[in-house]
Amino acid sequence: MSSLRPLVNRFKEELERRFIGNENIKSILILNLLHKRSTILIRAPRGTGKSTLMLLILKGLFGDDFVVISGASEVKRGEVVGRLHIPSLERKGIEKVLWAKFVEARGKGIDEVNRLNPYTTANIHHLMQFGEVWAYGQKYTVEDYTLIANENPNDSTTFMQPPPFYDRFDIAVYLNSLSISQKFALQEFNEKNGYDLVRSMPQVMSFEELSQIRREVEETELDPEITGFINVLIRDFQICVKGKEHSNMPLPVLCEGCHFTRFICSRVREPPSERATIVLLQLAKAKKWLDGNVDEKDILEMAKWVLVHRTGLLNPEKPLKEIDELIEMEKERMFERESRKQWFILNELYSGFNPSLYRTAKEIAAEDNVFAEELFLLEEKWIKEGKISREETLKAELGLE
Amino acid sequence: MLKKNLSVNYSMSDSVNTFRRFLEKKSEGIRIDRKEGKAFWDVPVNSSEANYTGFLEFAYSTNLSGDYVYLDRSTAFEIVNRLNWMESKIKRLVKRERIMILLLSAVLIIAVLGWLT
Repeated sequence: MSSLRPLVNRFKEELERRFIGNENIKSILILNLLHKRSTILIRAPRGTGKSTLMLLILKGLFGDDFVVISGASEVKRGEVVGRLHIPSLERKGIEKVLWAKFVEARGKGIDEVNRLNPYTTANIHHLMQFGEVWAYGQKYTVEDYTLIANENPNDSTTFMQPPPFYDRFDIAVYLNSLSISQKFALQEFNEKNGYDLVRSMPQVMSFEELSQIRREVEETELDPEITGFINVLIRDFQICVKGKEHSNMPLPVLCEGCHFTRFICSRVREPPSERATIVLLQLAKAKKWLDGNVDEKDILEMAKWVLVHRTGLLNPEKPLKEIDELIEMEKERMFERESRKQWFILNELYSGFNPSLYRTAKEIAAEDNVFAEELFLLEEKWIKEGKISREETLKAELGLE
Repeated sequence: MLKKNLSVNYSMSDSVNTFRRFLEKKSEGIRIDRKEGKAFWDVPVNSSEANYTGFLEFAYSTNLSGDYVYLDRSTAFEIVNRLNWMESKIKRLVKRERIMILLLSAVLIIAVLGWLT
């Protein structure tokens, strides 16, 4: 057991003591802080504590070594990336860049991220994508950091930030307003602590300790079953046998005549990126490191916060409810897969072609598009080897050839 | 200048290997036999009271059913065969019943006519 686990548990306790309510998101927030270059998006209506939560996390991890920029104010490029050192230019003719505190700080906060102007967003997007920033032809490589942003999605005075920018956030959590008992609890805490929640938050760990934790989490090994579960789960949200990813035809028109219309794919307009898989793997490692184990139920609970902001839904009116429904469908599908023993059959087919197993596999594939996709790949191999003809393939039977 | 210590420690064959490890892990405990071009395998069944796989076991059980009942293909066919057999049996019995009613009616008519004459 790592000697650093108590630090994380203490951080969680300190955060829970100050941030009252919204119990459902606290575990995922803590887990997501345990990997390198952690990024979190907090979405909530105004006055529900999204800025407070952001500041509490940054204060608890970095003490005073954090910088928050506000999208609501006029943020200039020099404040976010860097500015030219005028005396060096005037006296020596050298273009020396003074990098912004936001770039250098290990704790980064963005208040009202949806109010950032597109130029600032582009710079931050580049930082999150490549771990570097550019100014005046010079590059600054950003090492490990934690970036927390918040926004009110109902704010009408905002820019439409591009979906790839939101995709760079590992998780998105949604906050609810407090119940009356929670209001009492908050007022009680405020009375005792002079109405300054953030100032009362201690720095629980040093940056070196956080870095060590992140290294240990990175080195944690997951069981192949958990890795497989994550890959299958995300693939269920991505797959479309009709080629949705490269089609201009909108849903549900594209689904017309498709065999798999009852599946998750028919309710996903734009599939999640591969980052969803990476983030879920990191979260699973963090869970295993912190609690000693991670199971499939944990993965399904975590998946909600990983998928909600990076999946284009056919019914986007209530994203959390829709994602909950899709994950519920996913639970049933995973259960059915276990009952059919389909991975065993696929394993056998990978070992060698067998006509009777192939027939069984084709029957299973009619019930599972992810399995069908793997069978398509095997069929291509068998066609080349002359074991089957193109006419007898599943692809041909489903009319996809 | 090229950095010499840059290396990519990932290849497609690695991913195939980890995928196969996942499949093998999922296949643990399932043994396959091949006879006359056909494959047979054993599927370990959990002895959960709520999940019946046999038709009779389910029908005559005194336990409450679970949320799901999973039947394998052979059990499903067993049910279909039993239903077909029962239907044909009922048809036969109905036919026999009608004949018996006709016979009984005829005997009654004869008896009444005999009594009257």
